[in-house]
Amino acid sequence: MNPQPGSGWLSVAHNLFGVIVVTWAFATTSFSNPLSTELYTVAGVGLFAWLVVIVLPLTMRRVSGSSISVPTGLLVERIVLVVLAVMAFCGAIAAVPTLGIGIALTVAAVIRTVGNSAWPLWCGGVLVLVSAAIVAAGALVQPASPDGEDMLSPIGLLAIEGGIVIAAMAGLSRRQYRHAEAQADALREERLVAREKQATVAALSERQAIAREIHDVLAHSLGGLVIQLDAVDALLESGDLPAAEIRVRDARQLAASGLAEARRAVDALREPDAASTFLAAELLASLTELVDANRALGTTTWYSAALAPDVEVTSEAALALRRTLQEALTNARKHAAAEPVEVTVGVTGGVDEATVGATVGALVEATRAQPVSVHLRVVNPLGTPLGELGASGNQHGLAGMTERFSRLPGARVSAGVIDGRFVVDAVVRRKTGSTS
Amino acid sequence: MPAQTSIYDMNTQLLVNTLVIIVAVGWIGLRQVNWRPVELGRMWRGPLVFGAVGVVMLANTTNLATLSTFDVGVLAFEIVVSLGVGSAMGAMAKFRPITAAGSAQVREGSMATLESRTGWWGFALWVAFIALRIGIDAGAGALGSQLASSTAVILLLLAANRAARSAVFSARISRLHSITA
Repeated sequence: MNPQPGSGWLSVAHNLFGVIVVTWAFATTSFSNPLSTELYTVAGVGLFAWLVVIVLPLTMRRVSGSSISVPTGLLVERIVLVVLAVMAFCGAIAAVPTLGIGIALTVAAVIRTVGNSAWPLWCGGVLVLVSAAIVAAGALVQPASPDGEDMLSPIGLLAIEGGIVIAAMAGLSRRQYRHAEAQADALREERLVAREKQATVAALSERQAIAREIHDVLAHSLGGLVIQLDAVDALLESGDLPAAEIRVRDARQLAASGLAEARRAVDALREPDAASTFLAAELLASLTELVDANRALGTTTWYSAALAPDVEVTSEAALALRRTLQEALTNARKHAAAEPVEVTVGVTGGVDEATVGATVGALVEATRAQPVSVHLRVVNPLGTPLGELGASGNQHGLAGMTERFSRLPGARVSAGVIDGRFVVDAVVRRKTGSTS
Repeated sequence: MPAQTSIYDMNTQLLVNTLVIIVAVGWIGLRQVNWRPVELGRMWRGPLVFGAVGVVMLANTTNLATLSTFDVGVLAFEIVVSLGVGSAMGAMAKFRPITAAGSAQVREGSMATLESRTGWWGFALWVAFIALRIGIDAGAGALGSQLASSTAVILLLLAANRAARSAVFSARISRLHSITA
């Protein structure tokens, strides 16, 4: 944006043409009331001021390149303003004796001053008023010529004053245009900044999602592997080779399922498909798989699932439930090894009616004709932490779970100790309006 | 008889002018030193009425074809000075949020949220302007201006003064709003 009007090449050419035309008019018009030397001097000073106003900003740009220092720039602005005032006043003084030719200088100066949005409006206002007063005073002192010829007529005087007013209007419209331009620029800038901020937030949330997946997949499968390999180590030490072989096979299976899980997670991250749905059977299969794996690791797991076949959830919600179960089972193994785990899946009438601490039976009874939520509960008695595995982890799992549920509409997750037992509750909204 | 009529006319003219000047000084002076609610819409009514009456009166009482360049020059000069004084008064004015007493002065449904007061300096400026105007009046009359002492011109000058003040007020208030908004 260029707040200073008249520094484009077209405008420079336009102004130079103006200087030439006015000079030519001064020089060639023969007034029967000849102009005094002083008046010629005034007109000359005005024309020179016009030239300075055209050339000064250009040379400043040429000399210092694009980086004019701020104080120098301000100084030049002030000089230009003063020169514009000289130009306007010289034009106003010359206007009446030259029967209006001189007003061209005033008009050009007024348009530039009022139109420059970097200068306060009162600068232009003062210039306009003083110029108009000088013109009027010039009409009052104009010497009467003997025959009345070449005297400025009343209409001529009105036309000159009107010219100044019109120049002020033109300057105002130019000023408003520049102001609007500046505002549009600022708005564009603001929008750009907002978009960048949005992109940063989106990238951060993506990274969090990826971190969550890595944690859930790796912590679960690697944690399982550690337990299996510890067992193999113990069995080999006691010389029980066949049992060790079985454990190794289990460990291999766990590693393979972990790998498959990792692949699924990568696929899901590559092509997130929030619109796809999970039927009750698919959801239960996915959860049962985890329960079976947990049993294979030697933990007693009571599992009860009561979902009508037509219950559906979004794939994101299904993944959230699966991850919650996975995390809860891993935590139970880590912190309460050898204690039985109780897993319940059911539906509830509403998120708010979910009964924390109720018995399994009550939970299932809460099922209504129009169940709106799918509820997963994992309960285990508090136990002793399991060696180094128990000390691992930095609460990433719980934080990840909370993050994951906060992105799902109508979903919530909670984990805490109730009546001496550790209870994890996860509720997701049942998908509605599906065609299947 | 023409001489008599002329003296009579001049006396009436003088009387009317004196009255107009006293009323204008008193009325506007009183407004300068008191806090008054700012009503943007109403602010332009005075200048418009004065201006319209002034123009009609000027057209009726003066033969425009006989006006000299000198007449127009005096009128233009006075209007410019009046605009300048009005702008200065607008720039001098102080604003404050409207008080209960101020709200009581405005009509129902008015959007006035500010009061303004130009103060004694504004009043002094106004008196100085009137003095200048009387001086120009006398000087121009002596130099043969037929227009300078007419009541129409006084109304036009009043209109210019108030209009300039209103314009500066609007600009200042809109800037105030853009800062506080």
